[in-house]
Amino acid sequence: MTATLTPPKPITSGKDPRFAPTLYAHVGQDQSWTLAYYRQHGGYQAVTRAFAIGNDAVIDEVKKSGLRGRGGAGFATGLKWSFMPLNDGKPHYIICNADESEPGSFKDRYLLSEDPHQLIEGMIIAAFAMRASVGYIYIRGEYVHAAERIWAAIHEARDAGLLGQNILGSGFDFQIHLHRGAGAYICGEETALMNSLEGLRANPRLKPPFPAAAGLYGLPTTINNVETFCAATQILKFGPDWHAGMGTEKSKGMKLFQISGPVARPGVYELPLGTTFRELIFDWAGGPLEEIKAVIPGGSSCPMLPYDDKTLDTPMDYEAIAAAGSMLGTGGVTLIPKADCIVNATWNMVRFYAHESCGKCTPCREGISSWMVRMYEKQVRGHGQPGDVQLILDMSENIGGRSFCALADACLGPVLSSIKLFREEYDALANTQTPLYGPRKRWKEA
Amino acid sequence: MKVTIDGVQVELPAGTSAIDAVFHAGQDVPFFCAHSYLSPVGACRMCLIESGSPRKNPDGSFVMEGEGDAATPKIFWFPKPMASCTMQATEGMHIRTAATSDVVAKAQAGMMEFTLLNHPLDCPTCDKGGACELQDRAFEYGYGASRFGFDRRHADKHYPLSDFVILDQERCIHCKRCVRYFEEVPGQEVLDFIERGGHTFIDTEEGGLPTGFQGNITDICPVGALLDNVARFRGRNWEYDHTPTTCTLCPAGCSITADARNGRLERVVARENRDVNEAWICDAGRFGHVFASEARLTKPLIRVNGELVETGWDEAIAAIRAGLGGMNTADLALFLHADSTLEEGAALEALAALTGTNSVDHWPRYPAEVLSNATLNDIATADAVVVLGADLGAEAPIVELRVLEMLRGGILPPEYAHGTAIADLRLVERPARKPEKLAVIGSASRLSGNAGTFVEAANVDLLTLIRPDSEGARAALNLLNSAKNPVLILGADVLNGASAGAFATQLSDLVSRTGAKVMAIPAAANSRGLAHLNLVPRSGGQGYAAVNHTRAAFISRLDPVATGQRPSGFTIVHDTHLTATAQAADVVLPAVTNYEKRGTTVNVEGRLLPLQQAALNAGEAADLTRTLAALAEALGLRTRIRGLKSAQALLQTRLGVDVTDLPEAGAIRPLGPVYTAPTGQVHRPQLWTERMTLKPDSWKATWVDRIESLVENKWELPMAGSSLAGGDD
Amino acid sequence: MTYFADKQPLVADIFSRYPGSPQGRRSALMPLLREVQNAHGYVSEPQMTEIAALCGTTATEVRSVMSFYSTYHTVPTGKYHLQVCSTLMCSLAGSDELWDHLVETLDVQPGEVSPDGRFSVQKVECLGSCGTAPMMQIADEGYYENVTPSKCARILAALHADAPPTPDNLVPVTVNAEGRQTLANGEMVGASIGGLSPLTGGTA
Repeated sequence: MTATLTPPKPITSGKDPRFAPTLYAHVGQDQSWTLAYYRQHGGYQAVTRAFAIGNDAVIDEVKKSGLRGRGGAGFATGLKWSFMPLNDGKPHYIICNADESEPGSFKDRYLLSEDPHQLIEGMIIAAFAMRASVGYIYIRGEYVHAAERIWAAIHEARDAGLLGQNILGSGFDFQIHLHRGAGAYICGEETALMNSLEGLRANPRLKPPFPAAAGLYGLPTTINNVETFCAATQILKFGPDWHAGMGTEKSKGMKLFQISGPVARPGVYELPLGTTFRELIFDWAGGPLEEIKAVIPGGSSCPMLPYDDKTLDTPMDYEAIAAAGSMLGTGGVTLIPKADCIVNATWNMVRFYAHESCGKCTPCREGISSWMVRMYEKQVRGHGQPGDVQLILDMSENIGGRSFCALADACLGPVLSSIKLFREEYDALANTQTPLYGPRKRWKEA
Repeated sequence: MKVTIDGVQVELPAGTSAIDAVFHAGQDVPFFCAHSYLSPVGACRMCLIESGSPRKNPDGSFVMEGEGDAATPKIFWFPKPMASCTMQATEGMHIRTAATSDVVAKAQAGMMEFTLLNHPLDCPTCDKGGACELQDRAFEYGYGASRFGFDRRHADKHYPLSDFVILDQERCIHCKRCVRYFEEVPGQEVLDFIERGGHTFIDTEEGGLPTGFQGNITDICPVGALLDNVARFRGRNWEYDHTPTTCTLCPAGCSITADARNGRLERVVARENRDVNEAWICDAGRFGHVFASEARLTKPLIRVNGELVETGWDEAIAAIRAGLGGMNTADLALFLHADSTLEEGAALEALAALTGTNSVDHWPRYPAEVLSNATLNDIATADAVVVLGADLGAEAPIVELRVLEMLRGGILPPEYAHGTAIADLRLVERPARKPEKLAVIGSASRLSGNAGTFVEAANVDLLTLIRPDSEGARAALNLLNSAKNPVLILGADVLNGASAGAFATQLSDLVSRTGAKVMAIPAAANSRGLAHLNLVPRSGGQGYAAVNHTRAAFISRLDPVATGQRPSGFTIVHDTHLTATAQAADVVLPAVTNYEKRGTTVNVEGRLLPLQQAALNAGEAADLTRTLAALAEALGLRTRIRGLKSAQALLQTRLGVDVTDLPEAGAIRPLGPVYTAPTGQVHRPQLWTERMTLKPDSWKATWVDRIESLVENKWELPMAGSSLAGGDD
Repeated sequence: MTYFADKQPLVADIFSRYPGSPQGRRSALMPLLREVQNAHGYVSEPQMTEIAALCGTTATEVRSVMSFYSTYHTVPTGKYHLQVCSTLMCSLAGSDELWDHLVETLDVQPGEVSPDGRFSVQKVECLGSCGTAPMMQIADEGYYENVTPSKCARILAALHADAPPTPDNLVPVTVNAEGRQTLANGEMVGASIGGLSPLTGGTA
């Protein structure tokens, strides 16, 4: 499995014989969540190596690996880590964002419940690199099973001296605590998450100051996604060149892609960045079960793309999907069947954002949470009027880019893309009050 | 730092927010959530602007556009409009407001549509109407119509958060000013948003708001969601006569606006004074004005056959002349309330010189002169404060707020062409407080709960601090010793025992050792000013404590009978109400309240502050200056001081200050030596008095009772019946 | 007696996770709420006040925070609080019908508790089980995934008998010993299957 040489040609397909799953290698195996299993399979070697090469070298390796944040925004991880002040004498925090709430994303849940030590190891490495003494895993409140596994793993690690004072004789002290959320999508936003961790309403905070300067409790803080920390473990294990050998020019490494909707084999697949939609949908997920009209490429806030050859041949990396007019996001791919009304499907997503709006700023609280959602309900309930679609577009213009955080813009992802792609469905509902694709029975036996 | 706003270049200090840059340049953006004394949060999204900045090449030169000499740094514009209240202006930044940018104009119109989405638009029945930020801004920046075709959010419209503040949840636009105010200013977590998203509303779980500083939320609410319940439905904003004046309920000297309608004082609101009360006033100052329009004396009263009967001033003067008949004018003691103006004090001093009386006094006051050189801004920016023997909530509440301001960093907002900064980016939400910078020694109070060191002690004097016998007192002394800019606040419990001798020595010793500034809270609103006039008993004279033993007394706005004394001689009372003393008096002269006076008061800092006359209906009531002129006439004397102008001219010669040219925010001026004398009694400060509370017989209660009785008696609206009385022709 | 009076070790453990500063003390707010809710199914006003005192804040703040998050309840919930994911991915798999079915057969509306005290229902947003949709969760216990009509009937029958089935923890795709991704049933997927498949089913 170990690759030490930079491959001559980057790996951009899960079918490439040089590619092997690492992040996900132990998910689903019996006892994979225990320390004994993890150690048997090479666990806690990466952190030993990290201690050996020193904290600055760890950041260099992460920079060199080309790892970018796996939570959605895709910010360069090594660079983010290097923003943390060095010898400022203050306590530093790292936080693992395990508030996986983006509809269509379900990768972290398996990492948390099936391979918690991989995450803990990644957090120790990150903490060591950033001179942090305390780490919090902010896990969404609904992930009960995962929380129990993480809880147990933290205690196992503490008992084994992997957390606490002088970890593995390195002289480095670090402790991890688990903090459970309670049901708020906005906690995925890093500053909202910090507010939530401080026992406050999870309203996003002003930036600047950025978390690396003043984060949790006003102290330097770095937040990363579960998958990012796990990838750091693998980078320290196999080296930055190995990681940089996968993926495309600017999107390096492997990614956990999730696929849901009517496909033969929905689930999480670990593939190199740059794998095409076609490969994921057909070769891995076994192809659609019915006619599809749209693809949501990376979680519900990413604008949907038409289901056509151009989309299917688009490599799944940050740049290529951006060029296609959407985002890689969390890599949560959802297929929308042709026979479902797109307005109804979009209403479902708008309702989600309306429900999850924190209420802090006007365009989101009033625009999304009060008005947009009712405009959609009006259409779907058959009360649409000519001009409604134009009104939705104009409202969107008044919301987009005007809100405090990205939640309102996230809602506009499905709204604007679905209107662009399926205007005829919207017009039909608004003008004739009848959907082109009517309701149908969807709840059935497997 | 040069910033260009709509083509106008201005020079600004670093750290200025973009919104202040805009206003400084004379341009305008609408805003609801920003507030000068609260942290900027960027919630309402109304203050959108387009902005761009120059960029530098790797060699440090600017990226230029244009050719040769005409080349200018290229401005890289942000792709989206930005909230100006949370953005810092930077060198070379360009800003476009709605005046020059269609994108901004549309963004603001769209935002206004969102803001008004769930707003009930019940302006015709809203007390805020006519002075409503939302109303004004909707008119200036809105579309003029809404495309929202759904039901608005319905919520509680008449929700009394306390006796004083009523909430209309439907009108709330979620600017969060009130929540931030409570958290950041008095430091009370008593109000917050409940629920989230479009369901968010304001509520409390505390069973009411704490009395102290709650009323300020009615000032800062940009809409009619939080309203002054005492003034509710008493007038429209354009009907009020707004009089900028100074509150004299305590020595803080807060700037207020007295709003009167039809001769009644209906409302008091805070007026900004950056050096004194910033934008806040206490609840007593705001809601405690009801006495000014209730049960006022409007005519003189004289005693006829044992009963007090209304009469005119001429008759009253005659009655005084008769009552004092044959008595030496020097036998008439002259006592005035220490919240009287400097002008009134000077008039009384002048009259005392004419009558030759030695029995002159003002009350309340403390027995000795105490060094007091700290300003309120000194307190806010101190690095340590020790409060000794003071209950600031009863003595000078705003001082308490300024101490709390110190605990959260003491950031004083900068000033621009448009006034105080609208968004001071140094202020942050949920500021970290440093209770260790405050020590309180004395009785438990609201402030002691915020102190890092609190020593509960019943009997407090300077020695408690100077020779500490407890760990807490030692910590307090240590705090003073180790701080760079410490302030020592002295209150009634210490000052009642002050003396010219040992006390002054101890204090000056402490001050020279610690470098502390001192703020001694005066006993009444203008005790500090009146101390500079000879208004204390002179040799052989009686003080106010001996009012019972005077052969005759003139008592202005003091009520000794209420505190158990009983003047036995001929008594002339000058008061606004028929107090217990007035009821026992021989002659009662109607007085005006301090809301109806012109004159000058001196606050806790020694700041001279102007009083202006609100348009209240007080019949024939007169201020002390004119009343003393009448008294002089009754005594057969001729005083030169017959009104405000002559009193102010006298002040110029007596104290060397020209009080006619005071800036609106007041000014600290030296006033010369101080007159002291033992008081013979102890002053116990009490801010709220019974007459300041709404009484059952006040207009409101009367009307409520009347309506309730009508309902109980099944009264019906008179309707035209089928046959009208009165015939057909 | 207050809820936490006899649970000092638990309270101490919760506070030990956060700094000793006032800010750190406030962090315990959500874990404390969670404790009460897990015990009682909801948080009552006296308990809000108790938590406020523990965290050094006011009941207003506790209520404000509580009401912000969707999994805290201020009204009693049933013995089995069924949460159905209603977001798109589950909706495409029939969660709307699953919801209607629950509300109908259990005769309970959101905010209510069924007369036997057994059931309450709540529509929730995406619970991260999109690959095994539709799904529902019982309070703080665990997920039931791939809830087909027949599985739903089995679960409800078991709950009526007060014998809740063990929650699922389905992992749809795993990696085998050769490092190849397989389905849970061992079926090989992806690269193991062969060449790139043609696009079937046409384009939209």
